[in-house]
Amino acid sequence: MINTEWNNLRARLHHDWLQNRYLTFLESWKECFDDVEKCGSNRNDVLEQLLQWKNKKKGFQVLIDDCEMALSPQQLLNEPPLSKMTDENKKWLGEVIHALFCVRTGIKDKTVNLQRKIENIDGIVKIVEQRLRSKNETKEAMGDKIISAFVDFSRKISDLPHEIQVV
Amino acid sequence: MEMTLPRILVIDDIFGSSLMDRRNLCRNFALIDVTGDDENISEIPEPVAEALFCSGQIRHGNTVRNDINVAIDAVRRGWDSNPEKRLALLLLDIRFTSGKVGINGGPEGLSRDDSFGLDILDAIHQEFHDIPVIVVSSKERAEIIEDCRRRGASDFIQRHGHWTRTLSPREILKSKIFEHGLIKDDRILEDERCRIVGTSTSLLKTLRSARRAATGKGNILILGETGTGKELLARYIHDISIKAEGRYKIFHPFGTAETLQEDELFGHVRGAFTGANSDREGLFEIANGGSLFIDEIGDIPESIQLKLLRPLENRIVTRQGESDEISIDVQVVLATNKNLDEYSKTGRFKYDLLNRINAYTITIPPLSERKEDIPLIANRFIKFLCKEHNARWPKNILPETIELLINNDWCDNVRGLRNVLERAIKDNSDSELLVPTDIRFDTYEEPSKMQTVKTTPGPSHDNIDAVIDYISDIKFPKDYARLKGKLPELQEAVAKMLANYLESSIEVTKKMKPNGAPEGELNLTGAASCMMGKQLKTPKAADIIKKLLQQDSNALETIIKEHPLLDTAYNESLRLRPRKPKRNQRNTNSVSLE
Repeated sequence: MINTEWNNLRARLHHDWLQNRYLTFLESWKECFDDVEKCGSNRNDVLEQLLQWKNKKKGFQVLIDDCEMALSPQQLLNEPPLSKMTDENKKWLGEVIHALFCVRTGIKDKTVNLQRKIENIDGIVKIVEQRLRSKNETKEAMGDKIISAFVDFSRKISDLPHEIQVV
Repeated sequence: MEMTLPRILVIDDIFGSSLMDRRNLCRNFALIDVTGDDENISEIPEPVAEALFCSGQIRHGNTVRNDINVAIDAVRRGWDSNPEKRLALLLLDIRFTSGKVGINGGPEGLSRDDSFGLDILDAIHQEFHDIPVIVVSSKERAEIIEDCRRRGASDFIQRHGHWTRTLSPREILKSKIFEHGLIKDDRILEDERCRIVGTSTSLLKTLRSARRAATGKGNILILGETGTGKELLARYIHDISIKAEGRYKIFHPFGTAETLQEDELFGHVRGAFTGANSDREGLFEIANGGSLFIDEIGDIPESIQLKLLRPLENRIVTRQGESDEISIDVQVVLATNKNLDEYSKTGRFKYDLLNRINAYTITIPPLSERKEDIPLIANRFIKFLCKEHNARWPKNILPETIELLINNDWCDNVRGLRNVLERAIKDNSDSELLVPTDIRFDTYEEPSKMQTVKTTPGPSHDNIDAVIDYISDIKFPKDYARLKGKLPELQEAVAKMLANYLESSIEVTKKMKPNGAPEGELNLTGAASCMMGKQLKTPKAADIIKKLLQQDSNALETIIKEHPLLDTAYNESLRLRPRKPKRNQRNTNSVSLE
């Protein structure tokens, strides 16, 4: 995925959906995640909104998987004037600048970290989902936990560079 | 009073998405959605505001386009509407996603979407200078915050409130509306007469300044013409400040001797001066933990001005007669209708004191600058005054009467409006309707703008009925120290006032000389007859004038010295007065006239 496509995907998923809508949803129903009885007649609406994560997760997965290549200066070799280089030179030079980019930005660690955040979120969402479906009778307050998990995830995505990193 | 929530406009592309997202936003900020297109609005406990939503976008087929005119039209409708429903604040998003609608149901997004909110911000401030705009964002982006501020945004708020966890989103929005919103006086009051009535922008901006000042610790100076409601505003500041639970004390220097002013403000210890038989707290100490309102600061004598420096600067007072310092925690609000800058230039007001009292300066607009408030204020006064004077209620007021009130100059401001309505209600207590002919305005020699000379409070001197009412209603403090020794001065003042009345009566009854000489000839019989409202004989007239001028022996000397006309009249009255019969005269009933 080229950088502009990746940034567009990030804006749609992260800003438009996670920050603008999903975090607002989580904050506004926080008390229900602490005690599902407080949902009243809105329990199904809350559950339906909670499960939006499952659909969006696939998009975030793509975002994380592709971020290393989308942010790498290696792709500058495919644009003028560097695109005029021979394929042989582009190959070795591309490998070198990509390796340098990975070391200097720690991008691989960041993607691994983001992957863990997703797994953490999955676990919390599952507990809340079970509660909302009345399949889990535990009373542990989950409001702060679920919001913190998503805010943490959001901050890590925000920390990713917005432009191609020239090493 | 029925509580009305402030109304805000939310310009956000979230309006174009599902209703569920909007409901979440309303729930998060405790907003009641009054846009009118959602039939299943959920109940919001303890709402913070009413919200209208606008997307700032147009949808054509499967394409969404950002459109500034859509946003500006919504602002215009909200701003030009009924003042009770006028926008108090605007929440503005920055990124508006537009473009072709994708398979996920939302627009794909275009490169210019990120800054469309800034374009709206520019357009708003070109047309609506007074609307406070708060930018809503999902991100902590310092560069955008700065950009928004430069373009006129008042503040910034995060959509889901995660920059700080100390306050909930609803608390954050509430505090932003308190600080920036154009909201009317919504205090819960036992006495509705203490409410500041009005919805004009100039008044709401004053109330906003007062709220901002009330959250600080500095001294607050209220400026405004006489009769604008400075004391009401001082009380408002106290009620909304963190000192609201403390005492609220008022100090009026007017008519109080200098030594008593000092005693009232700072107190004394036993033996501090003759008659100080026990310790006494001053108002600064009594108001500790609360607020002290010092009225007419421009009229405070120089010696007291100097003594105010320390309490106002360091919050330390010292009682008269001791050197111990007492720390105080008082919100001090001061007020004047005088031009203190001018006073400080001429030395009548200490420059050092001026620097200490104007940490926050709030100016109350005169009634002439908030005429749209006159119908509200008039109706409020009519309600209270009917009750006060046992007049018929409900009493309506014709639109033509309101129009008449609106078109008056109101040099004496809200107090003048009250006086005019009070007169109308007293004169028409059995009437169900106030019509234009019921309204009698005072006439003025000079408008009472911000003055650099001392003025006498009260009604215009041209309206003698109002003067008589005013004098009859003057009340005095039930305070021994303040009442003590004032009778001679009061008698002298009354004597001088009556002498002025006599002088005018003599002037208007002068006989013109045959050759038309302008000064005319004194006609004391005519003058006394004018004053008494009936024709008198000369001896009786002379007796009345003599007695009037002899009201007060202290005043008589000054009067005849300063008023040559009255000097002549006094001598004439002595010459023409009825003579007491001599002891050796047989006929004791006879009267000798020269």
